[in-house]
Amino acid sequence: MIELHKNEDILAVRRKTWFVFAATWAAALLLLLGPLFGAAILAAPKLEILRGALITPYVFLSGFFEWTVWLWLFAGMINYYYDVFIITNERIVHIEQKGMFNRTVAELNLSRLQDVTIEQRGLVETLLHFGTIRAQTAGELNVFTFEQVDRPEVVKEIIARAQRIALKGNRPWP
Amino acid sequence: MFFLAAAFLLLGLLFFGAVSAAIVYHIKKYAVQGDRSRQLLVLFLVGTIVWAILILASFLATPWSSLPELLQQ
Repeated sequence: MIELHKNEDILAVRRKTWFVFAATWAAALLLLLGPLFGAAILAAPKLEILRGALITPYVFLSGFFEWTVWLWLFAGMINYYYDVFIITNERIVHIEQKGMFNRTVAELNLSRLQDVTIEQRGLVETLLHFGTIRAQTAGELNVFTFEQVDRPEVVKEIIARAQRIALKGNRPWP
Repeated sequence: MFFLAAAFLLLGLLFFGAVSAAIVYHIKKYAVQGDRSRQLLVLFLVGTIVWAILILASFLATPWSSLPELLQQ
């Protein structure tokens, strides 16, 4: 859980688009079904390799294979799911998960935000409604970038609304 | 054959258990307010328990001592 300041509310939590993780999901699903297909082939009437007492060692080895795929899927899921862009009524927090043990947390104060740009490049990004958001603070060279975010135009609008109200000094939502 | 399989099982369970614990730790630690980490954790644990039971049950059901003869047939 991220620690919120007093009177700070989370307005939106955004992640990368589902499309980024779709290849991993599809590969994991195929690999999880692999031992079943393998068993069907090995137990086919013409081969009949998998029969009798050989079934349990096959299940034993398949179990380890399935567990490996399961762990690989969830390790990838952590990389995807915990790469988040959190917009509160005070700041933007960008948490970037790189693998299992590398994590970067960057913060940008809304009152210092100067410019927000969205960028959608190519057919895939346009059709699937994802793109890149770049936010820049006044007097700093660093640009805050969040790539492959779902519906960047909506996120930009949320940031703009939050910033307007943060600059007024009011809480944006009752 | 039995000792080889038992060693494989023990090392496998230790290693996979450690990786599973690391994943559980990540899911619990890095949850964000209002996200679906709890459901993710339940799904992961259910899958992990299913694979572990499958492995243990198949290990116990396998006639390891007579397996080399069965493989040669």
